[in-house]
Amino acid sequence: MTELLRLEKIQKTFPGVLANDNVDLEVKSGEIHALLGENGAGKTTLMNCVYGVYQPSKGKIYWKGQEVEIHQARDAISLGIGMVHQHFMLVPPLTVAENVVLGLKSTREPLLDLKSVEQKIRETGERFHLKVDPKAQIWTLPVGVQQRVEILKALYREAELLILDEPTAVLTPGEVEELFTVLKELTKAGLSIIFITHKLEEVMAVCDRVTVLRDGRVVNTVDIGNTNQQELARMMVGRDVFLKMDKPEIEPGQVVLSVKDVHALNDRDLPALNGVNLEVCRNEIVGIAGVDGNGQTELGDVIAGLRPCTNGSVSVNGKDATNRTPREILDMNVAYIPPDRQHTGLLMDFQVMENLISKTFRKQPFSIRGFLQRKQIDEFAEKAIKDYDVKTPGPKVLVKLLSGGNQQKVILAREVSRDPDLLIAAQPTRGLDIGATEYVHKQMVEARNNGAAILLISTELEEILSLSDRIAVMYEGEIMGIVSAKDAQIHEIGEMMAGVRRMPAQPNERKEVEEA
Amino acid sequence: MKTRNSTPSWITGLLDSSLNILIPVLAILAAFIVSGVLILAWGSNPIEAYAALFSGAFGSLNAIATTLTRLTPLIFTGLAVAYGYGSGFFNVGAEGQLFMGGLAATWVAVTFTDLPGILLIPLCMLAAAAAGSLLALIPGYLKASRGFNEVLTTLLINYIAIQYFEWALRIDHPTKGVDQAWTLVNWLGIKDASQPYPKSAEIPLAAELPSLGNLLNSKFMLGLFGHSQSYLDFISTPALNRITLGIVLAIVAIVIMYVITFKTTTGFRARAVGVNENAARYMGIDVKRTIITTALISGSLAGLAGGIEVLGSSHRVIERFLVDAGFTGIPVALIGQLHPFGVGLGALFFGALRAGANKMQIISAVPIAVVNVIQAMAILFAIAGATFDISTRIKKNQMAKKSRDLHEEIQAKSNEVTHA
Amino acid sequence: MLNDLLSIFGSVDFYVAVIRMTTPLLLAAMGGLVAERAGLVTFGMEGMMLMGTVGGVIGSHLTGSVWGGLLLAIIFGMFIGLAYAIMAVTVGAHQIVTCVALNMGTLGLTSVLFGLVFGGGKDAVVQDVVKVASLSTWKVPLLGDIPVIGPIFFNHYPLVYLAFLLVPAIWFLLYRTTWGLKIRAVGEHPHAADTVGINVVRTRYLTLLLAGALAGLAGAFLSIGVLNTWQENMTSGRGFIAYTAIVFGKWQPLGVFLGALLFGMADALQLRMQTMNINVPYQAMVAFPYIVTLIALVLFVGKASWPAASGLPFKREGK
Repeated sequence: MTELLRLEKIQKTFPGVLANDNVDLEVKSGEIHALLGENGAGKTTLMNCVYGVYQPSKGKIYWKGQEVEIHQARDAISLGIGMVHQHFMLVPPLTVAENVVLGLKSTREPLLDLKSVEQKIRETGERFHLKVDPKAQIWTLPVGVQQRVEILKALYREAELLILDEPTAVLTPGEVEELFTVLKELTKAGLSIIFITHKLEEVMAVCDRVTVLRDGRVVNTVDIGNTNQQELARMMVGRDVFLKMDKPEIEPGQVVLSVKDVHALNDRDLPALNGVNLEVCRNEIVGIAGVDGNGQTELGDVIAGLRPCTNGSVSVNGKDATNRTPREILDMNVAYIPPDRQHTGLLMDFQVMENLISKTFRKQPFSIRGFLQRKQIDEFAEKAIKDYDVKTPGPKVLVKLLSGGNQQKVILAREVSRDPDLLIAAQPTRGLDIGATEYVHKQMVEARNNGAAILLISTELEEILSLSDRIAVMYEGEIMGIVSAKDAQIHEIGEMMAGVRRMPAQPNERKEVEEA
Repeated sequence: MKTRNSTPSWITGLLDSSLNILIPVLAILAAFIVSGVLILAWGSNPIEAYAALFSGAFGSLNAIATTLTRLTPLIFTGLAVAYGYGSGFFNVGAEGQLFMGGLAATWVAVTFTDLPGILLIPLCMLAAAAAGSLLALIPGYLKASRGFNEVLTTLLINYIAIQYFEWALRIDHPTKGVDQAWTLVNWLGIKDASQPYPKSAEIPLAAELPSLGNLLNSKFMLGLFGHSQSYLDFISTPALNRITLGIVLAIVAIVIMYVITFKTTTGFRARAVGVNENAARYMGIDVKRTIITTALISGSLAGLAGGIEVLGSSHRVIERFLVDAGFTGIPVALIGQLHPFGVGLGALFFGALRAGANKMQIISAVPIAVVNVIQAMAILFAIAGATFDISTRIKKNQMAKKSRDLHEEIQAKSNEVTHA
Repeated sequence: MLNDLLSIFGSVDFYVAVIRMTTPLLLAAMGGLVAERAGLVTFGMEGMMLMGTVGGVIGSHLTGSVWGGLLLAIIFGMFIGLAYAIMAVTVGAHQIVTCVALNMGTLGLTSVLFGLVFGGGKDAVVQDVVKVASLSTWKVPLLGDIPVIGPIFFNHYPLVYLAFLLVPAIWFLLYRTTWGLKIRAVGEHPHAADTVGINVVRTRYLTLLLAGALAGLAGAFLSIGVLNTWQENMTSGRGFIAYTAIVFGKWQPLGVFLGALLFGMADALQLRMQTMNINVPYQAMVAFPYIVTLIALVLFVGKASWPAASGLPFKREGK
């Protein structure tokens, strides 16, 4: 097998972030090469550099031994590189054939020659087990079939290297099997595949070699035959050493949040939660670990009343909270820090002050009979800005002008100052620097000490490990296991995150005492 | 540690809003310059033309009265569009709501002719507001429940309403002193049965809004100043009768909308939904209810525009009675940066343009049509400027620097303390 | 009343009128349809048509030939199309507000232009009958002689034939050519189109120029095609009706055609009804396109019918 693609010391920086650091990668022709890592490891960024979406800040790319520069997707495509992104680039009302041939010159310019395109699609489909009806409109096709169209698009443009970004995230188990068959056929015909994933089972099942990325750097590149899942999990997730937050040992109190057998769909109407069971008690932080896209976001939304729960139940402090309006859940003294600071966490074009009261404005003392009470709001804002160390020239500044860290502090101030019974914090330190992150952690621990029940959802394993009392791992919409933080073994957690281990929930100590 | 503000907040507030005013002012200036070129091509002197324009709008009491007359309905439609748009509900159908408002106010006035003014005027205004809000309710409901684009729905209902108005203008309304067999349909009509043209009867005196002339001629004022001959000369100026309570009501409306928008929970909700509907949902706001409330408020303001025009100025409805004031509310709102006070200034600009256009034509032979061009250019420059969002970029850099300075200050202070 | 209605619907003249009144709607709507499919809101067709009306008379007057008038009308229409393209595509401004501004501005600009060419003065702007060369009808040989059908379909001004031929032409453009594929992709998923190398900006500019040209032609039809005169606001809302036809037709060429035809008939009907003593108010006929579209909108036109990228400015993501 000859070398097809080689990346040499690739570095990619964005303002304030080093996404890829000195990455070397080599892909041979005819192999399926996995790119394994957690969120933020830099896998998609790296591949976007190969596909021309980004330009590397440093480093070189070699294609078939020649150095190349790839400035846009068209360059990559003309070299023979195709990429199937997580969000498909297909035009829904157009047919398969129309999507495949979009942007290409027709044999009978300017007339479309769809017949020959359709024929070629059928032939390629037959050859590689990518059966699609070329006349079908994209929107009528299930997601798994749409993915086939994306692959056909690349094949039609004579791709020699196919990059797939988390391709199984949208597939059913049956469709995953079919995809693997396709990939094997493609490599038999000489194509190479780069398979971006965080799922160990798949890596072991279908790949030839795997490169593990962590924090933007390459950990190692190994042959599948020479390694196992445990080793890969450890490489993916890191060593056992981590900083633990100073938390006083507190006996967890009564159950505040109870999630029973909850099912829900995601935005694409695919199952996101497949029977989640979870409990969070007063004075405890339960951390939900897992790679992004395994249902954590949906779980937070369901509890907060922002997403319908199709089966199962949620209760807060004993009261039924299933499928209630967000306002009702809010009134149950539930606080929610959603993962997307800019789109759902804050009203970006509103002032800091207005954001601070955006969940409490309708109640006294901030409003009386519908009229906002300026004095009370001002006082509250001044105090909150001070208490939560929000660096802003003033309370009337629009929140979009603040730095990410300070924006997050505004959200924190808004939620924690309500003295909630339950606080759901999703990705609370995403994009924050060390100082801001430490601050947020400190606030959360304080809230926990003061009696709050906290559900922490984060893709940063270190954060989970350092803050949580108990750790639950989510994979494909289920809780793979719940362990107490004290006894947590990194490699076990890593394996749960990658879907290859299940651990029964550790009995809550308090419960044990009761049963005795 | 306190966050220190080195400058008083009202000054920083002023600086912030000054950037907001800069764009519309520059846009208007640019519009005048470009249109000046057109005037040159026409063969007239732009300076002379603009001077005539200004004089026609502000140069005499009569001119001011005309300007105020033009400006009053624009304030209401501008407020209607501004409030709606700020909440994500683009009320493009203000024109139709305005016509129906005028129709409703006239209807009440010519039907309940014997009521005293103190009852009749509020009743007419209520009818006008109700008519406008009812018209906006359908698009509002369609958007809230089924996500229908309100631009299309308000627009379609707008044209339908205008045709209804045209029809009602030709159906005899039961009129005293006219001997005819009245049917149910007649109660829908508004035409003055005693004459053949498509227009309504004049509203009774009691329904007319009091004017400045009325005020200055009142017993009370005459008692105070009646001894002065110059006063008596002054109060006989006919223009005084054209300056009515309408402008006062418009200013009151601006203040009320300012309070609603920025000082009430209703306004808070509306603005939140306008900024980010999804995030508003996350804050627990009932988005559907907010949209409908917004539609009702916006519609009633537009309806009032028509009602107050009838009660204060035209005293009847005729064909094309306030044509274009509804659509002009859109640029008024946008140039006014969606702020009630800005709407006032925007209405002043557009109203003055219309008022002064006549004089500009008489003196400089520049056609009134140029005013349309000036208006259009002002809008285009204003939205182009706003889209480039220069001010936000400038502000962000300023903020970053300010935050850094503040942080350094605090650091320095704490170092002092530890070293002390 | 029934007799009156029968007399209308039974006369050949009526159908000839229907075809004639449909023509400007169809010309504008077909051009607008292409731009709409590319993701642009073409509420500004009224403004483009207005410029076409004045371009027609000016061009015809200056060149002495009706074809000069048509050419200038096309140019004037395209000018507004270009202005709109700059605002909507390059600046990324709010499309509907821009349309409102353009409609407002052209109302004035056309009067000024007319006054500049035909002599100013206080009154020239409002109403003026100007004798310019205008179109004459072409009778299709043989087909035009068939009784009844002949006069209705085959004895019209050339622009009428063009308008009706545009329907299959635009259909073919959209669904059978690579250009049409690009246009549709740009209107539904501009990012996807961008990643396969389609120039979204250029595509949108071109469709707007086409829309402007056709709307300009539609305007010329009103001024020099039939009436042979010019007055302010000659279009009196026909541009809005054309836009309504696009919505009514769910952005499909055949549907838009039917919509334009339906609305053209309503237009012809209301004109005749005004002179007769029919119990149904003619305003209902004027409102008919809007009522029918509103009902259709609520019942049939779901979100799926709109081009998905309609009204949204296109911005490439940063590198």
